[in-house]
Amino acid sequence: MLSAQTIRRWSFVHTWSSLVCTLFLLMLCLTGLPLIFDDEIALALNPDTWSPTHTGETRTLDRLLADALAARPGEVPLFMSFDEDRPVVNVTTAASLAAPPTAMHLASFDRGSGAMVPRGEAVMAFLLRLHTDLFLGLPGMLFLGAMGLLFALAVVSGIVLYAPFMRRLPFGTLRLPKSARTRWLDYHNLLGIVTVAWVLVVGMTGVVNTLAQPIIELWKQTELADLAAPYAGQPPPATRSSLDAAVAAARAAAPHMQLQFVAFPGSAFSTPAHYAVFLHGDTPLTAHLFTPALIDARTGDFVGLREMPWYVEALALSQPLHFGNYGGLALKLLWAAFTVITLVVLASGLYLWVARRTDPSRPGSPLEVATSGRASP
Amino acid sequence: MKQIFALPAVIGASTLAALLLALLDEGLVDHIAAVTLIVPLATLHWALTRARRDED
Repeated sequence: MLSAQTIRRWSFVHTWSSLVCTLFLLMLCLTGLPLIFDDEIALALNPDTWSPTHTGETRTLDRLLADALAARPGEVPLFMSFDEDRPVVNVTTAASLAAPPTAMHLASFDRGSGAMVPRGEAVMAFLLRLHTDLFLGLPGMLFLGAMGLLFALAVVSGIVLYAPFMRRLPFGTLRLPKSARTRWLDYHNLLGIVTVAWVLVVGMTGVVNTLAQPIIELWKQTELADLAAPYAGQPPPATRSSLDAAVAAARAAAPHMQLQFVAFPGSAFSTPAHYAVFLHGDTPLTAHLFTPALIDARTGDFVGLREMPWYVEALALSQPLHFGNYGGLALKLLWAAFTVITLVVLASGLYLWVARRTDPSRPGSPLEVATSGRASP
Repeated sequence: MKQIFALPAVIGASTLAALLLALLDEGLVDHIAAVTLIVPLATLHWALTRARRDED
């Protein structure tokens, strides 16, 4: 068993690592809760906004691209992505290939009619931005990542302290007739220990997600730079080969894979001379792993498939494990339940700290609990 | 120490297994994963029920 001094040290670590990150963790849980049901909420908020037009034909990607560029005169195409559950193509354009994300324009088009599809998800976009970076861009993401690491430290120190707290109590003890502070201490311990694995997985994958920009930047500066090196200094081709043919060539090279998005020549995810057609697998595991197929943008010839390095694949796999959106509605509901429990653990921890400070005469410090076997009167 | 962490370890291991199972495949495995993820919630339900019964 731990010595009294060791318990006091772990208690200090647990208290302060928790307190520093609690406010942000509460915000992350509150914004994360609706984000679990992103698709369902978007559908509920806009039930009649748009439905696909059944014209009997599917517009070519080249034609959709031409329409998108006609609607944004003077802009260049950066990316084209494809919705998985509806016949919608999303085209990202900007005034230049080097435009920052905030200066990019995204428009969605019906593949049947070519008509523009409204994008009415402002509330969810706001929540996602708040959850991801506090509207501060990369500094905000890295800050939340640091809060995530503090949270992990709080969880680990909580596990260490669980032993002395529970030394003389059977597992699952809830002393309901005791004082409010004792009750909430028991709730805090029980809720925390039974959800600890989920909390650590979601917390640590959240930390990995906050490193998305540096990870993608590393890939661009190493793997993508190697591919682009032979074409350094060259402008993107004045006339591009057919986009439909490029996508068809990529799909022919990997018929078992699904189309995710196309990066146009010179954009952030391609070389100046290639279409990068990003494909993904069709199982829950491989659906998150992307492989770019490079197509010569002048000739339309298939150049090759490039596997993503391990660190990009780790990032890709951390996203579903964080958001819980990979196993249907049942998994989402369970994710929501675990999130609510985490909220209770955070709030009860805060309550216990405040209660102890406002009533220091009452016994129940971690040290006393550990040595007497009583959590509080 | 082993006794204190025995049940939490089982619950934690089953949660991790469920999260990975749900990521690996679809169909029956998905259902198994969802059922396994209920273990922590069922544990809470059991503890609450027992505490309320003892209170009465």
